[in-house]
Amino acid sequence: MDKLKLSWRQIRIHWGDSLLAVLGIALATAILAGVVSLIGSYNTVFDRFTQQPQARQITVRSVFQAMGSGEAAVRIDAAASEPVRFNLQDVPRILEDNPDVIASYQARYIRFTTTAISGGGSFFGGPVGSASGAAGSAGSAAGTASGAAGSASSAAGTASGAGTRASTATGAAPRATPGATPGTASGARSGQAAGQVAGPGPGMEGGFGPPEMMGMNQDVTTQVVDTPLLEQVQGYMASASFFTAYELKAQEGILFDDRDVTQGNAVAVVGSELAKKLYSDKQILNKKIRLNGRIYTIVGILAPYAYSTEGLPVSFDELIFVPTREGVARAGAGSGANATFFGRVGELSFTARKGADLAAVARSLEASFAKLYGENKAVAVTQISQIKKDLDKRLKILSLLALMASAVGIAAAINIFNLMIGRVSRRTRSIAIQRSLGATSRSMLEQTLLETLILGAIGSLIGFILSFPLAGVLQNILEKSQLRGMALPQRLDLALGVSVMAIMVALLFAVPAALAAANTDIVDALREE
Amino acid sequence: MLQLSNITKAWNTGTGQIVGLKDINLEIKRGEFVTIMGPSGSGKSTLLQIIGLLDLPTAGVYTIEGRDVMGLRDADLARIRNRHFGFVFQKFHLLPELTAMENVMLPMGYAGVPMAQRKIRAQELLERMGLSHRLHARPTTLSGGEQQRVAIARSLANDPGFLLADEPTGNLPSDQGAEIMEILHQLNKDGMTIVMVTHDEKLGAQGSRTVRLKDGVIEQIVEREPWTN
Repeated sequence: MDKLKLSWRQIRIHWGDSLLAVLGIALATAILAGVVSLIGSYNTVFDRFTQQPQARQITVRSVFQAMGSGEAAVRIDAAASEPVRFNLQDVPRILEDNPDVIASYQARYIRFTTTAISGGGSFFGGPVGSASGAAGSAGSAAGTASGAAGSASSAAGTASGAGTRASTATGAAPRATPGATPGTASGARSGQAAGQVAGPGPGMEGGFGPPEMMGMNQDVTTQVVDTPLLEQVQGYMASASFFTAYELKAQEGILFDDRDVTQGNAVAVVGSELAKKLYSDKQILNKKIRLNGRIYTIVGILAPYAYSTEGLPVSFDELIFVPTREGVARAGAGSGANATFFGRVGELSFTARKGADLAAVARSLEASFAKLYGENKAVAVTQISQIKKDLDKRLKILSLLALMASAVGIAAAINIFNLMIGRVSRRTRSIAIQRSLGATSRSMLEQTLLETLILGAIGSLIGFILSFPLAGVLQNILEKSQLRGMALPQRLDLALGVSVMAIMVALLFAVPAALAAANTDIVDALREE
Repeated sequence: MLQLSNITKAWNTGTGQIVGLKDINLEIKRGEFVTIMGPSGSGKSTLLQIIGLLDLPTAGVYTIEGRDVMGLRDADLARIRNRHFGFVFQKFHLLPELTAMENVMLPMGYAGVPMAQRKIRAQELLERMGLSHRLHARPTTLSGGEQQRVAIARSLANDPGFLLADEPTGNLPSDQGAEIMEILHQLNKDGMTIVMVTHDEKLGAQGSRTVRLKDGVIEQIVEREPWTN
């Protein structure tokens, strides 16, 4: 008690350099605690993100297609590299090779827009508009065109490269249509045709996978039977394992399965939020909805997505899901003796097991594809890698800041060292007096450390408090891209840890002074001169 | 009783040894008022510091109440200083950052006396020293005589057996010095053993026994009747 009082008195008497010491500690603690807790926050968010299904998705696409974004490259390589297509029948073997993969699926993000509901395919007009409707669903139609061209002549490769563009697609569509029409089911002429074009084309449709990569902007004519409230619906054309991949479950009705996909059943599953606003009444199961001129039956409503939507463009709860038409129902195309239901695709997605090393799984998948299709024909891209890159950039800046903060911290610690040495040397007489009155040398050591402890505690408390606004400012500066929307959790524990560490460093640097205090020679210090 | 036998104190310097005290044999009994005299450099302060365990002799035997204190650890020496000796210095040596009360309470803190008792005792001692109006004054606001009275109060805090004073009046005007001597005599009359270093013959003569040092050796010991004013 006395010691505390005495220490406080000492600090007050030497308030000038005490203030300096406190400010030094506060500054170093604030920066370091802010930076460290921010690093921790980012890591926490990233860790949390990695727990979500969307973080564990890996997309393997053919090199040819991967280059589609940079047209120049495609033009140069188009002649040389035959577009590789992955055989869906190889999927079981790939899964067997990669025990860390729990699902494989295809999916394509599509934005459906409703236009005037005056019969099918109003876009391109006429009953055969169904075909052009297919062309309108550019991705697949274009893919079809390119596929056809690719196998025919090398020059067509160029067309496929630009295949996602509507102009090329539209041009190709008429060619594809005749091939498709025979396969068209008897049903709704306009509607079914649209669906079928994608499927029965030579089975080499264009891209699947992450919408960001695909840039799927094509508007699909949507016609909803039973007056929907929305003019636009977004969703996925996906294989049934898409639900497995993202751990999506039905809260009402059922999810479509592999049979629905292979049989080309026109069924749809609606996200929980979309289900609430799609129709004026809540009874939407078994309702028919016309998407892209094709009539689908709503068979299920998804349970709300159990994870955060970090890293997703739109929450699954807002989307509609219909069976993919790509790479399947090849027999329906009437391509001959081989009556397989599976064709070839340019892209496949995989879901890694929870806790798996995604980079390793991606490499392993690439190896599997190399074994089947040849070296360097496929690239595996992890969803997480871009976010990770983004994060690493930030962490690098933060680490640099942490380094600077540490330098400030060292400066503050040296200041403490000087300050306490100075105080002890100015106070030798006071120490000697206390010793003559019965203080032990150990208690003099404690006295010096206690004084430092008080300075350190005040400084680090101020630093701790300041670290939060500081972390906020840093975060605002750093927020520019992918992680922007992510809510950063406050890492109170880390800020606290740094603050405690600051006190300990201050104490450590006061040890020499404390030892000097303990070893003060009483007689020397009390000499009367 | 304090007993010093063949006490020698020497310091090693770069060139050789300086002998401060040589073969000192001295006994101080309870109730005595011993004055130590001698010219400066004769070793009188060193002797007082050795008696008060502020310094340790290089050779010899020193027993306090029959207990050999030569090989004791720092903590034990501190405890003996705390309980058995009270120090009064020429320059008072109060802690400037503490009030009069707090200065007096300090030795009791080291002895582990509860706070409440410390306050009561400190106040009582300061009142005895005629300082009841200056309990919470800082040393710098007190006169020299007042500071020395606070120092005496502090030296009595743990009711020690021996009060060791090193030129207690050396820094005071004569009237205040006389006051201090008055207090010391009163304490001695009440049973306190006092050992006082002085170079002032008049003050030295006020002791019941005077030890005269020269060049680190006891030159003469004079005993006399207790001093009366």
